Amino acid sequence: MFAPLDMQNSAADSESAYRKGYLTGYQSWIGFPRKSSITYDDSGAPYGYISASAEDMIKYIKFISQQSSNNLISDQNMKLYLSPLIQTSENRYYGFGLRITNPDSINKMIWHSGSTPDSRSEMFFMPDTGWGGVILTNKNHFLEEVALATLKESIMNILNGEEPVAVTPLTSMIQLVSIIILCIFNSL
Amino acid sequence: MFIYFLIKFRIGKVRNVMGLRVTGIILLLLSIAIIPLLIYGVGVPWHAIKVFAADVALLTILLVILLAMNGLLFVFMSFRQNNMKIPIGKP
Repeated sequence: MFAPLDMQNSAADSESAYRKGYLTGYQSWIGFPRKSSITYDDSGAPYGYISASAEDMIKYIKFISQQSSNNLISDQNMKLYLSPLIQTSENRYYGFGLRITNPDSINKMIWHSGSTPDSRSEMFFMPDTGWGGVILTNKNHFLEEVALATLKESIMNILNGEEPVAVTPLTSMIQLVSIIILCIFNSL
Repeated sequence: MFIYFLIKFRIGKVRNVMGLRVTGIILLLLSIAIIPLLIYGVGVPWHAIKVFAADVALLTILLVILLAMNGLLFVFMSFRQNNMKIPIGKP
């Protein structure tokens, strides 16, 4: 499946992933990383369990950037693959497995993010400037996912010669409020 | 709070029996509803919360246990206090 793009360290099943060096990541406990004991979900490829190295992801971004010809799909199908299909919000669309933001402007971006309980990744490509990137992290928490989107936005701003987005510090407010409620319950 | 009320119950200082019972039932209902409400509010199954936000899941379980324990104690206390009342005028 990954061979035509020469993605040698990518896998979509547990056996191949562990053979190619997949390591479990970290879960966040009130902001602190804790080694995850969750194993690779063998049937999780549709929602996030495709492992790949940064080098492999660069090969994929080069593939969608169409910098060189490929013998995988025709130009017509590639155009279709990168086109928006369903509008999901004001400037955001979903295509054939990829997300597209601002499709008819110079700020067009083709991207996708994904997460497992102990990892999170962002991949993006801007056709007008030719810039693309991938961020792979080995820590995740449902309430901290926005941080990586902010990092992606900041990288894009720097590439466009703008100022990076102001980062709000992580406070784990929900967890802290829950702990306070529990303490009140116990101490009254 | 659980220990505080347990001591209060032991020394027989509970006055508002009906209020105690209502509070106990409310706490019990809250303990039953808190996880379904969280699932509905976030829009993801409980298993996803457990793996994608393990600390939130643990804190929620602790909260459910404490609410249920306090609720059960309050209801139990209200019934026991009722039984312990001595009718006025009886020698």
